[in-house]
Amino acid sequence: MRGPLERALQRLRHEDAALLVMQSVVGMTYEELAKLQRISVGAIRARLFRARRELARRYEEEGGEW
Amino acid sequence: MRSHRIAGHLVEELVSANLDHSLTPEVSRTLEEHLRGCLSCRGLVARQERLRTGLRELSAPIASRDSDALWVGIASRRARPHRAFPRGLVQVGLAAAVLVVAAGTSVVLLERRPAAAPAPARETVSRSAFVLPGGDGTLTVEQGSALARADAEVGVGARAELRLTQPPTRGSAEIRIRREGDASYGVLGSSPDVAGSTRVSFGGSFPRPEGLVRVTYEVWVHFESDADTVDSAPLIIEVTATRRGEEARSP
Repeated sequence: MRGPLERALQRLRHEDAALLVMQSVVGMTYEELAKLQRISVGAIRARLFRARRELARRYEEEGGEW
Repeated sequence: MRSHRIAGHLVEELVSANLDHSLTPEVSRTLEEHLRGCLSCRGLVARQERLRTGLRELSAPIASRDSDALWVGIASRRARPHRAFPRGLVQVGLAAAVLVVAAGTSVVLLERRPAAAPAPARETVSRSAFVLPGGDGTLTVEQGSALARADAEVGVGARAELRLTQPPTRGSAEIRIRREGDASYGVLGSSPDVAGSTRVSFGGSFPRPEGLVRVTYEVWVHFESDADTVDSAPLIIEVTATRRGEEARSP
């Protein structure tokens, strides 16, 4: 999974990649992300959703398997 | 009984939010009801969980290209949940993550400290993420200090600003810059005494170069705690850097 996922992450808009990493890896909460980026919690939720959908799409394009 | 039916696109968003435990109990229950009767959405949950696990397993530097947007982000924090760690156990929980997201060329680095690192004499929280406009970046987290370094090409009017928020107890911060060929770093700004949850901000313009010039930035942060335990207050360092001077590039 690593190779396709890395490539998929590289192809994401970097702000989406950063958002995913900060939430999923660093463990920042929606509230912390909203404060950091100065947008609403709802906007963070929507952006994370879109980023995940895009990551999944690109992961499949890169040959990733489920 | 169709009360738990949810529109497809909404399910995706709810699944994403549920993965982060950010739904209200009522909405979460509705989603669970839907999932019980929907094989396709259960597959969606499984795929999102797999991606999330995969992201967490990535620990090597990841190079990312493309992007015009300038985004910032130094973010550092201890792994959740928020609680105090006894002396000697802090190191086990430490995981440093650095994000280098830049205009022009961007780099995302993930760096984790070894879980078996020896217990330090004095406990210190160290977390950083780092953003610069272009180039490569590295982060070094030592006991009590973090040093983020990156190379970038900048031009007339480029500017950097650092904000340090919620240091564990006290510390100091400094931004240094060195132009290619210079023997030493010039201090762009510094804050010798950062305490409590003080937010410090400073910035400065880069010297006027002849066209774009490669520079090395350093952001150095030192912080320490005398307490036997350190809480999980996140240390957030934001570096904002604007990349100007494209018009000065030689034809």
